Amino acid sequence: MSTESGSLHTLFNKGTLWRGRQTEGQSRPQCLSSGYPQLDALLPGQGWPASQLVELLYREEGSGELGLLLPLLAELSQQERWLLWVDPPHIPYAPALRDAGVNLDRVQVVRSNSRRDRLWCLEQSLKSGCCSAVLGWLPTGQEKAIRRLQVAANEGDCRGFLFRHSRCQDQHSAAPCRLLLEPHPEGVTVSALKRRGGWPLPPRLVPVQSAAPAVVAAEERKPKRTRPQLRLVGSRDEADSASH
Amino acid sequence: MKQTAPPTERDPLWLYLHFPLLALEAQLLEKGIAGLLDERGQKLALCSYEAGQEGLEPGMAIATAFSICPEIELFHPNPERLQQQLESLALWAGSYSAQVVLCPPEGLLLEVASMLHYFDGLPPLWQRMQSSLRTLGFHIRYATGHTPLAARLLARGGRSLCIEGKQAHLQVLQLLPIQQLELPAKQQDQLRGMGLLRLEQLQALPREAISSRFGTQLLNYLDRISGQRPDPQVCFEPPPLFQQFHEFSREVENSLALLFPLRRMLEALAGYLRQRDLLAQQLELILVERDGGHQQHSLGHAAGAADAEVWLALCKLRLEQVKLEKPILALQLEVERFKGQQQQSYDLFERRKQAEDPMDLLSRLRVRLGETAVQPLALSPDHRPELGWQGLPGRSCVVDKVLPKGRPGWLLQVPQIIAEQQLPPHIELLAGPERISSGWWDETQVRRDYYVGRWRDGRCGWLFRDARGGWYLHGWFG
Amino acid sequence: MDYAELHCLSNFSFLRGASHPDELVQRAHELGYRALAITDECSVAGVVRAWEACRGLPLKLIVGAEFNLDGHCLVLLAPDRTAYAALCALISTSRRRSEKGKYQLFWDDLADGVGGCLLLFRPGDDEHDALYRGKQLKVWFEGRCWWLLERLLDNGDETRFKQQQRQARMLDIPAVCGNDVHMHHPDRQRLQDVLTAIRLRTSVQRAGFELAANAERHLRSFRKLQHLYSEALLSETINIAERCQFDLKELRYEYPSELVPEGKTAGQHLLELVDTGKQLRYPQGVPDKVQRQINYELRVIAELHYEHYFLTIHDIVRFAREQQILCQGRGSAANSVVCYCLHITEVDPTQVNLLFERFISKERNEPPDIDVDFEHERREEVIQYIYQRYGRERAGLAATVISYRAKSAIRDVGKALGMDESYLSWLISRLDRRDRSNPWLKQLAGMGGDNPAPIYRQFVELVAQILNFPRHLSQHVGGFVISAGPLSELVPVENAAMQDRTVIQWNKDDLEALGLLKVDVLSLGMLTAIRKTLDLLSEQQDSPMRVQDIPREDPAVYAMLSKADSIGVFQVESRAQMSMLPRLKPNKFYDLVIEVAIVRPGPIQGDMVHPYLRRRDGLEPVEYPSEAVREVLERTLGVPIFQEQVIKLAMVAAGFSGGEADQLRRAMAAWRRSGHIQKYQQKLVDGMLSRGYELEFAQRICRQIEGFGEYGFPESHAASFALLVYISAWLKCHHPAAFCCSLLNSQPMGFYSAAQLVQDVRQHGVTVLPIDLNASGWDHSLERQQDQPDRWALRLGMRLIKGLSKQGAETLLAARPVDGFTSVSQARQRCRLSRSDWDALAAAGAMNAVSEHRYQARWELLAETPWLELDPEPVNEVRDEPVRLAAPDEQSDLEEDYRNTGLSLGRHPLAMMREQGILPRCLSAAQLSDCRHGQLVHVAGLVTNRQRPGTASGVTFVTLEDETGQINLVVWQATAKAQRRALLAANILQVSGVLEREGDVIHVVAGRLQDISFQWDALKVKSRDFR
Repeated sequence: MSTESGSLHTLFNKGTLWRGRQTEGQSRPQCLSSGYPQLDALLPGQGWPASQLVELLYREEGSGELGLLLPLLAELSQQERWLLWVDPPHIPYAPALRDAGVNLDRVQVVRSNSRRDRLWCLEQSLKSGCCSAVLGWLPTGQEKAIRRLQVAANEGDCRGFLFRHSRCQDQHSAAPCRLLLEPHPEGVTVSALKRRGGWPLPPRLVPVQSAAPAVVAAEERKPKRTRPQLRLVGSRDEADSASH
Repeated sequence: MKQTAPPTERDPLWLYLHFPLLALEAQLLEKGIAGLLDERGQKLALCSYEAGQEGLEPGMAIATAFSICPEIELFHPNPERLQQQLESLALWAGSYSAQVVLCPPEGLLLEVASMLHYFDGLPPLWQRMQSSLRTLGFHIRYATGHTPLAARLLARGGRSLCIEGKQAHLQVLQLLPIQQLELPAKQQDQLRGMGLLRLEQLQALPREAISSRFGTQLLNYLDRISGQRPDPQVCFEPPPLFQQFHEFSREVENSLALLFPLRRMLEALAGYLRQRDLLAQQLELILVERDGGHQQHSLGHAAGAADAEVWLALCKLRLEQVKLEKPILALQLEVERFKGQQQQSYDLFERRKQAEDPMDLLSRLRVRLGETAVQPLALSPDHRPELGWQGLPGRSCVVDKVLPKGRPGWLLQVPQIIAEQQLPPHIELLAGPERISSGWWDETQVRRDYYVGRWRDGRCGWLFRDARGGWYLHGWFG
Repeated sequence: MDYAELHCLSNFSFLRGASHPDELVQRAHELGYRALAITDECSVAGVVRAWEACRGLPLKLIVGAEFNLDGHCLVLLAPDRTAYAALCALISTSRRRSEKGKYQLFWDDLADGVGGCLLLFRPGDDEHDALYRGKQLKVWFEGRCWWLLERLLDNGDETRFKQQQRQARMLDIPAVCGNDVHMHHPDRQRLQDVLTAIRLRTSVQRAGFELAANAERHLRSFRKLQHLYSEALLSETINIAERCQFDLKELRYEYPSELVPEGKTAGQHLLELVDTGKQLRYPQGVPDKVQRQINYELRVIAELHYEHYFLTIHDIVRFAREQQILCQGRGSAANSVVCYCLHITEVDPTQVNLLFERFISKERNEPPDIDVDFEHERREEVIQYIYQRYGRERAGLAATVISYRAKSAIRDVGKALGMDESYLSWLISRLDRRDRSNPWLKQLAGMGGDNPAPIYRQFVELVAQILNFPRHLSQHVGGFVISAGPLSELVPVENAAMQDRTVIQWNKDDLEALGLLKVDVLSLGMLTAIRKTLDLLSEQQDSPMRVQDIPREDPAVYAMLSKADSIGVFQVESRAQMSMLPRLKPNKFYDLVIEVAIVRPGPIQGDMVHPYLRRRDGLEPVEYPSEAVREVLERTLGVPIFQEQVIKLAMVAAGFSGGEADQLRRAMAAWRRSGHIQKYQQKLVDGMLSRGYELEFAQRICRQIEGFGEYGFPESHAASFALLVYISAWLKCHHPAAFCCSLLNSQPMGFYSAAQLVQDVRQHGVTVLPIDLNASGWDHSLERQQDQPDRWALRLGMRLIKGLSKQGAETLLAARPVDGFTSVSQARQRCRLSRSDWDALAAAGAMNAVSEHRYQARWELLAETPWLELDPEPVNEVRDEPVRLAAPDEQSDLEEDYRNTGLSLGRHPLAMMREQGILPRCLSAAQLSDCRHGQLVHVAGLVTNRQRPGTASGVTFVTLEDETGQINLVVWQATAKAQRRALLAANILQVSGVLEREGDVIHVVAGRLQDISFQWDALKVKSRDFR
């Protein structure tokens, strides 16, 4: 999960990496690689920043939003602290998380009753110091709240990830890092809308695994095989339809 | 039994309490026709009083028991519960004696000679114990003895004896049947086979003759009974924290039904406090619900109290207001704050205040959002996808080897029907089918063929077709 | 399209496969498969059944086996006889390495290619290991190795399929498809899940991923196969199937050759042996009729090539005779003149008029069946002889397949569904399996209530499905298979639970189906008792006494039996038999044959007993619907009593062919197992109706067949047993002391305890003497009575003493002076016995002759022994001050007797209680005979027996014993239910009831039962207070 020195080197050469805080950053908790060199290249400090909010914007679930984070979550779940999911839109599916290497004993899922409770809950957990990462789903128009959450993340030395609809991209946000995700047949295209100490970058393709399941990856995708016959194996009129 | 000699101050005195049905009563919630099974689950090991009235008796095969009394409630032996209950009784006994000895599995030995002074003699002491015991609802056999063994043997032999004085006890012991001596079965046979039936006959024999036949152990044993040889005992040490846990053998739906086990706990608390010279100021009562959630009730007594009746009244007040939404599986009682009889009150749990404890955060969230608002994720070995993630906390029994592969990161709460116009070929099927047909034993049987499909916008979903041919979306590869 | 399924488990892969072999065969046939391989896990136990089911179908059966090793699955198929032998050997080796029920295969076992077996290899998930093993196997099984691809549509199926295809290409090993079949139809998924849960001792709710994800492991349709597999993979199955040419019928049994002397044929040898034998049997010359019969029998034997079979049995019996081990043959061929001449049986077939062709016949093509019973204490010698004579590798015991029955099915299925065990016990306790009007499965369904929970409904269905599923193999009680070559090339051999025993994987039906012969070496306690009695008599008379010397048809014996005086007599000593004897009043041997056969559940269920008795007593005319029927039924007065008669009836009255009748016989034997009997019943009724018999007659025969199905008793067995009945009755009648002594020396056996046998013999006027240090041996013995030297008294032996080691007793006997010991201390000085042995002797009262009483003896003997290892002269014995213990009173003495020897020669407890006035108004057993029928009586006695015979539904028979004899109680169901506790728990019972008498048979029909056991203890307190 370490950054590939090769790509790092390239980035230095290209001058895309902001070096100014490099030395200063040593004293702060280090950035953790995302596990995807292409993504790391987009992120300030070559990886997911610590003690900060990251905003992930996308249209609908299934846009690679989990895939991007899973390597990080797997890494963080080795710590003693919690990975808290606050009001995820669906069930974070344990077998998939485990398969990605996440230690499930560290994961807790919170269901709040109201928007107020949700913000309270996010703030409490971000600043508690008990969480290595807090994942939250926020509707549009929460500028003030986001500022408070950023402070809380800093205070509690916690990574905060806010998942928001892509239509929030034009709204102001206090999150130091904002990424826009769009599905792509071979992964996700990621655009950095905002990065502290850097300027927006053009979209980049990140080959997120979980968006294109292992089965598909293992197989050479030939054009003729793109559309399997839409019939169940064995047809219903047979005796063995009893099993189905 | 008339006392023959006036008791001298120095005569030691022990009281043995034998709870013959404890293994059963520790699991019972209320009186009724009930029985405890033996280890192999084939025969009755114990019967409640009510069951005895119906004609059931220990040793009976289950089938026979059922044919006599079909409504009998049966319990499996639970040695841990038994031990817990005995310890809890030992705490209770702390109200009456400073030296309590555990005699597992179902006996307690109390030193009472030194207590007579505080209770104005033996009869008042015993009277108070008896009335307290009556409220606890355990069957009991008891006897005093001038030695621990004398008390034990007389009690287990069913003597119901409450006297003082060495001579008086020795006299009673003479008539003790040898079969009640708790000797090895073979020795017992041999003694009976020589016509030796009562302790006095054995005692009348020459000592050398006994030891040459039965070894010195028997002699020593007899000497410990009579008191010619000391018999030191190891006293029960109450634990530093008071915490009691009672798991019900069946679900409880009426909050007032909790009072019966609660009383036993509070009686134990009273003994515990008495021994440590403390008062309790705040109790935490935790009711564990069926689905893993729990209710917590704090009960306070500003001045501090030790008496079981006081606390029971408080509990009753509280429980009357509580409505049980879900059945209760277990009950836990802790003392949150103690107060020394003279000292200021202090908090045993001060370290909890530190903000660093990760459990603290969760409790805070639970307090605000509700008990079930925070849930862990766990793997559950079930083929049905919707059941694959809700394990019991801390009990993920799936090894990675059999972990299903290629599952989506998001699972929809409820599978969502896929509209006609969306159906393939609009969705491109990338993999499948994976056929899952399982769960026929309960209401959530599934029979599905799962596929991975790509939507037009590039997202990948997990979809299935059910036995009726309908297509459903069940997850997203996020 | 053509397909052959090459990987298929039956339910003989215990608790894995969810279909019977015949179901798999039937389904494969319906689906149009060309061939089916039965490949149970390290086993061929199911193939014979599959092979039978294949008969007449165009489906080829392939024999194979599956092995699991390091996560890989290997399927071996036998293409020919050699390969089959190697497969059996491999299974045997793997099984023999492990404890019963398990196996252990090593890779090296496969290095020799397993005799040409074809190998299908399904690699595990470890790819590296798969390739490594694949390369190795390709060499070992050159040209005979396939990569087995199986698509079960479970998680990862697609990936795995592609990966394995790639592996096969890489290794250049051909691929073939299979379906890892566990069930014939996907319907069986639920049962399959339940089996998995049972195997893992858990419930389906908790079994999780141990259960299969779906129901795909079934025999699939062509359509489905074509969807899943390429044409090439499918056609490869046919290529493999075509290479498999082995058929189980090739397993021709080769008899051991050593039994025939060189230069002779088996037939010649048999003829010689019969010739020698007949001279012995008929010293006055062989009657013509007998000679004709011998010739006929020998001809049939020769035609069917059964010479070796008779020679084999003859050899075993010869050995037993040489060793003076009593034996008696029975079974369909045992009661032939040939067997009589070969001394396989003592039943003189001419005397009882049993005809050979009834038991063995060409047209029925039924292998001869001879069971030989040996003395139970000495059967092991015979078994060891067989092992020694033929070698362990050539002799083995047949298996018995233990299958699911009502109780085990309810228990296991219930547990697998997560039901509470005590609840299941309760369900079981409420079933009445004898109620024929309401089969127990229906009762079980009813217990779920009017609207049972879905899980309960499934429970009942699954219980019904799992019935008759094999659970494990056990050893047959004595069925030996002996072969010419190594047995393990014929059928795999595995370890039995008993040490040093091995069993083969087939049971006796399988052996029969393949035409393999087995020899049943069984044990019978009565033979031991008879031999011991004869030994005693020989000693008394100073001349050898043999079974043949017992006079036949002695009226005194029949008179005794007719009075139901039969305690200790073989077979007819049970309560049911005893109540039949006075009604049947046997007066000739054939009556005994009927007596043995008639008091059995079969005839009683079929309602045959009463018609027979009425006809015998002339109360009912004997009529035959036809002459043909008369021939079959005449000897039993028109009532079919024996299995053979039913078979014959099917032939003469319903027109069954010989072959059909044979099938009917098998179906009858196995009807509970297979349920095939119904189709025969219809055929039987139709056949009889069309031949003009009345419907009522036809239906009665059907009912009787059903009864026989469960408890069928053939005439040939009855005849052999009846002989033992006669012999034992004769011995009891004329030599009661010797007979009782031998019965006691042969315990445990029979129906009655030692105490009851002693009580009986004393009532017959025999003096019984107590165990005595100076007079008793280890065994019970006979002593000339001092006052009447011509009479024999029975001296109880030390074997009765609980806790006395045999070795201790022998030491004592060896050191006993001719005149006996004179004191306790002398005895202790003379012989070194363990303390517990001395204690046991004293406790039993055996030392009373040299001591004041048993208390004192025990006290003295328990003192530390003064023996020092090196000290030749014992030091002064009595060290401690003498203690005089009080003597036991009568009651204590009695109790100690019972406790330490199980019986007492003192006064009967009931006599003591009566004397104390505890039993007012109670009549003694002896007094009952003066009472009239219907009289209200009060009785009391020790409960010696409680019995719920299978025949009389709802009735419990209780036997009470008092000082004068036995009292027979009949407790009806309602009474039993109402007073269950007293009935089940009492040791001493007081009963008020109505006396019923029928001739000499007296019963008390119980009304009120009272447990008065406590009175005995009260008596003790009372008597003590008196002193």
